[in-house]
Amino acid sequence: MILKVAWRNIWRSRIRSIIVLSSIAIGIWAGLVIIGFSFGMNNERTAAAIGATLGHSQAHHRAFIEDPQPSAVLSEAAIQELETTLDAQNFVIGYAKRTVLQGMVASPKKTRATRIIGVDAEAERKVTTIPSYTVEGDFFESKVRKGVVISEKLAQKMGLGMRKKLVLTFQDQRGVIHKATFRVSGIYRTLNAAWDELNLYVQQDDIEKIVGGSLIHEVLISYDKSEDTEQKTQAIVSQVNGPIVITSWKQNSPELGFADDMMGIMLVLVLGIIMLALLFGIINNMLMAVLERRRELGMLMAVGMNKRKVFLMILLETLMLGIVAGPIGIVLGDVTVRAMMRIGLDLSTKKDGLAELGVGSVIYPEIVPEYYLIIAIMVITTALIAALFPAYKALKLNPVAAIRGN
Amino acid sequence: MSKAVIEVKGLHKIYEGAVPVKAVNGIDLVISEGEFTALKGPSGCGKTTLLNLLGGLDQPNSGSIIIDGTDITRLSDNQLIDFRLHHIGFVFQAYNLIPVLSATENVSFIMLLQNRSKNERLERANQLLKAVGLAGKEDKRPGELSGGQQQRVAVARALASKPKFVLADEPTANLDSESTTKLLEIMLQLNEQENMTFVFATHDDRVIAKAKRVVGVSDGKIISDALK
Repeated sequence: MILKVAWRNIWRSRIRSIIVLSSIAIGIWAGLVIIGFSFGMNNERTAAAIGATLGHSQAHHRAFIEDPQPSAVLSEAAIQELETTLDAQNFVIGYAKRTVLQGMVASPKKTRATRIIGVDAEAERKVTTIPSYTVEGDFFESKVRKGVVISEKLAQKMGLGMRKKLVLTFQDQRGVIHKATFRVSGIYRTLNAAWDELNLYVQQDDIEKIVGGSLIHEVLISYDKSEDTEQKTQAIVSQVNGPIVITSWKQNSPELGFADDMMGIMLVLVLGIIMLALLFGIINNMLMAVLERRRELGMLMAVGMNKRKVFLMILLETLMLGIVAGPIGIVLGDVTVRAMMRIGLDLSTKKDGLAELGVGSVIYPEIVPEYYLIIAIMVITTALIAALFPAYKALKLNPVAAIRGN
Repeated sequence: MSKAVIEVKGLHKIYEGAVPVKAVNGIDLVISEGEFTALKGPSGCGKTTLLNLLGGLDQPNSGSIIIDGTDITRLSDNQLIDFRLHHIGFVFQAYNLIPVLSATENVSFIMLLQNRSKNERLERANQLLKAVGLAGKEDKRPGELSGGQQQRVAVARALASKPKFVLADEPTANLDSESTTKLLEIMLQLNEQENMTFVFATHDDRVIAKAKRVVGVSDGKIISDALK
């Protein structure tokens, strides 16, 4: 019956309770929407970076990790051993060997430092999404000799366009400097503006012809799923010996990995702040409820309701606020996030800023089920904490004074 | 001779302040089983303080209050709450019913605190409501009942815990003549049929007229004690 009393007590002041319940539900709704969009934005950025530029992991010569010199190449034997290992992993869906050279790019107007990535276009298409970011021309599908795919941003800065010529200068593994003319055969634009500005793609064959031999610095590895990347990478690491170093995308892009790791902590903090605001609202509501019922609480204590039961009654009333409002907020949040998953949040006006962050201009939120449980636990905890002060005030009542209305 | 249910010896209660007030000033009193006693006196004479002391709602400065063999002045707060629950019934001037509960629920709530079974609670609550003339009003909430009816629910609630005695502080102060007469009839009936002991603090002549024993209180002292 104490449950029944607690439930009915909530509805004594209907408007006040509805306001408190609404504030809890809106707080939870806001929390879920923030979580949905934050995860959507972060996951899109991570997925885009993994798909287009990072892969799930990469293999390099140990010397390349310390200093990415052209001489830090992977030997034929090392590559063969790596390929055998990768072929044996059922979660590896593909890998692409790359040449990575630091060099200079010159147009008739300007000269800039650049990173020249030599790719096998076929292999690249299987493991990366970079070809899908081509906005003009193609990603070496037309087999143009000495073609180069540059970013839209670089093209603008260098005053280049399709079929325009540019000169690449770079050093080979022996330290010999080469200078070669390439023609723009494709222009790409990824979600990562910083990547776009620095990197251009050429065909590995062209580079090998210029330097006169194989020049593999990097093997980009793609997994079936992005979950458990660290464990999967470790599984490969444990089977690779010699000078090859395998690094996961989090190691290759620490800032992206850090953002991914921090996401959970940040969102729990945001939820914590929302709950803190709700805490004071609930305390205020319950304190008013207790003070309005001084006479009744005094009577209950006079007739023999012990302090434990008085405390329990206040606690139950507060918990019920959370138990009623919690599911409403969660359902509202879930419905909103699901609707926004279809529509997306169009932030085209902030397109350039978002591109700097490696995110598209339309953000699609994601459902993160484990946060529903976290929110439920936080609401219950908030209600429990909110009950303490009003319950303490109730326990401190003097029955005689309370009955008299003092 | 009837068994004593309350034995008060040398009771003092002083309210400290700029001018200390001796609300109860050396009272000795014995209330026996089955009594229908009125503590009468003007406002501020100490009768409500005495009633609160008898009910264990307030602590005396000195003296003893022995109820059913237990000196309640020596009990801790928690022990007192438990003692009140099982030994004393209360009727308050302002009824003090729980507004969100029906008449039956108000009466059975105290039995819930005693951990009685649901069936027992319901059966006794309905039986008591019938005894106070509220059959058919079991599902009504306090707001749907008149003042007199609410006070009858309060009497039923006071009896629900099967107490040794019932303390009533100005139970008729908020009632009209008809309701007062009806309430007194019911309490007298319960007193006579079930030998329930009632102690009232009152200055209502209608209650005093019906009381079988009238104890006059003035300045914290008993100034008269008459059996009718």
